[in-house]
Amino acid sequence: MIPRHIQISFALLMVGIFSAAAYMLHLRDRVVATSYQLDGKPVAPPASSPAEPVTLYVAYDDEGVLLRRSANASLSTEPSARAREILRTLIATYLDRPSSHPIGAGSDISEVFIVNKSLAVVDLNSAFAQGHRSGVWEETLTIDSLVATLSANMPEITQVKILVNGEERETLAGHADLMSVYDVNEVNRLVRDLR
Amino acid sequence: MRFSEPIRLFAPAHLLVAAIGLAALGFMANHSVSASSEPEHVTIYAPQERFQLVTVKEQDREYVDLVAALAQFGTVASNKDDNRFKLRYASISAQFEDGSRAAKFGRLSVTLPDAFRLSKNSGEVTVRSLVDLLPHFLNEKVDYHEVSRSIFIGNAGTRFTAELQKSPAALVLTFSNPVSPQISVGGGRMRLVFDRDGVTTPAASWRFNDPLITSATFEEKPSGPELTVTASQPVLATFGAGGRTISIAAAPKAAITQPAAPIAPVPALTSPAAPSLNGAATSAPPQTPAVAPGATPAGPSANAENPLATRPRVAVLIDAAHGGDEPGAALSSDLAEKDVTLALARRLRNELQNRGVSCALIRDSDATLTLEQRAIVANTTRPGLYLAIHAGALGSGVRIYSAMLPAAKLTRTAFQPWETAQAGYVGSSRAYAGAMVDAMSKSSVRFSVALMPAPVRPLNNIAAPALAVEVAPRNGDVASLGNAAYQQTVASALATAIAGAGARPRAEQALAGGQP
Repeated sequence: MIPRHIQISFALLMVGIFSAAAYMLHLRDRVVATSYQLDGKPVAPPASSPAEPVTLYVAYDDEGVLLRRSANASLSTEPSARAREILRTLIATYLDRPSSHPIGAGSDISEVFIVNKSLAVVDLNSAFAQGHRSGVWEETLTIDSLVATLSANMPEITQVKILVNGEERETLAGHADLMSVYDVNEVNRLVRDLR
Repeated sequence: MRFSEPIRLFAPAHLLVAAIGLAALGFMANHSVSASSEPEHVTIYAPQERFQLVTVKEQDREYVDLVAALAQFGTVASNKDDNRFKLRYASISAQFEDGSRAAKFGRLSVTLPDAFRLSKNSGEVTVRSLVDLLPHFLNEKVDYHEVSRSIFIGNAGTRFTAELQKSPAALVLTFSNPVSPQISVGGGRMRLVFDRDGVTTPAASWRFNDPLITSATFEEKPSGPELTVTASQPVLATFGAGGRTISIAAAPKAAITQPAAPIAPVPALTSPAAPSLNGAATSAPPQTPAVAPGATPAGPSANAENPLATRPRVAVLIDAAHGGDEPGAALSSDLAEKDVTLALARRLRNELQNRGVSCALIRDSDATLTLEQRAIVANTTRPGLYLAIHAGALGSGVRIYSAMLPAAKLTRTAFQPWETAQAGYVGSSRAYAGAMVDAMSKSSVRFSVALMPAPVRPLNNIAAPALAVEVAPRNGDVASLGNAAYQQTVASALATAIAGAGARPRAEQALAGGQP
């Protein structure tokens, strides 16, 4: 016969185990749900370090061109964080209204990973892809703008791979290929033509 | 208190806690595994629809939820009373008892192969019992194909006949419904697996007195009904009649024996084999009759001055982008890109045929096709030019895109990387695009024409000259994209440019070399 206080302890323990399991499932669902939420706020790089000049290749839909622009941003010395902040500076220009190349509210760069100093893996957030306008031209300008901006500020980058929410995705919004690895020279050749 | 005392006192409790904890973890792990693994199921083919029922396997018996099964056909009311289960479907009442093989339909008693059992909110019967019960509820004959785990109600299912035609030899399969089998080749055999089509023809084998196709066998397998065709040389499957016929014939020798010959000016009859389909089989994308080499005849009138007209195979393969569940860009509130691209593709086909250029559409209906399926069709068709048609709201005129890949020399290998299959053709694609732009700029119809590389999927996956055309509005008016006159003007200009580009010696020279 198990003493009563032990039984109560077991019962409480079981309640605790299943409550914790239920809470974990709830937390997981909430994390998934919040990753899709759009806050609509322009993102800005952290202001913890002094501002540096950054070269941006900004898309202009009306003219169908990519133009070189300068901006100042606080950049990290760590390559991955630096790349992310450079791209966030570009994204912020597109999120401003009016925008020369509007993108969806809440668009952001989740992470940039630098592999072997030459391959940049850019992870866009879900809102970026979900809110992006569909069209060959619109999507091409976005991709070219991201790749050209990254390579202009980090010349050691020779290839760029784009993910969405940490996963491979076939296209950005139905047209632009995200399965391939972008060759920076090819993109820059097009950018020169589009100036 | 001595140190050892509490340990002795709580040792059983610790063991119990550990056991419960492990049980809880086991339960959670089992739950997560079972949630992520694919459940077993049987497929039911009814005259109007096809659906799957999840089964629960216990002691070599597979149970299905009886109410869930009948609910697929109509409204079901059920009532559980102690160990009895009453069920009413349409005007038919039935009664079951937990653990009993006896079932009652009014005054009629039926003995089931296996016992009925009550579940929490319903009643369950084995698959064998369900097959016996369904005729009483549906008043239709029911056949169960155990190997393929398929239940056929009434006349549901697809039947086919096989006939060998001579001159040229071709095995023609005629189906009662459209089919989309998985096709593979190897070891002198072509295998067609009808895993979604409910093909019910009894197992059969055919022997043919033919030097090309010697035999064929049809049998049911767990992966689905399978037809195996044995041939003495590589064969090619061509779909027709909206997926109701499959014609299996010898693959063109040029495509087999000269895998890396120089690219012909436009039709590319001797272009290398597809990167992932080393052989000569074509796979039919679902819901659409796939275009296969030779499926589309040359245009209505052969034009002696146009080199495209003399080619017997598909010179231009037109891919109307998007379709079905994938509408593409919302050009306006009532104009989807998929509709504009299909209309443009059809007009372009007509215009090309009027100029004596053989061409075919990958999509000729509102079918859903993945980008990979489009690339597979293109690579098995091996056209002279793959042309994806898009429509966009930005800018005006026509934009022609080639793949954004570094040009590479065409290698004489059987396989090419899928993501860079276009690399060896980038030069020829761009030369062709340049010739098209030249032709369009000299056209009497003034268009704004732009040419540039762009990362348009699936251009990188196409092992043939490949371009994408994006048609933009006339004078910035998005509604013009849906205008028949504007579409016709664009299609006519594109057709003239394609035919003209194919006839240009400079383009031919560039194309034949594979590089500009």
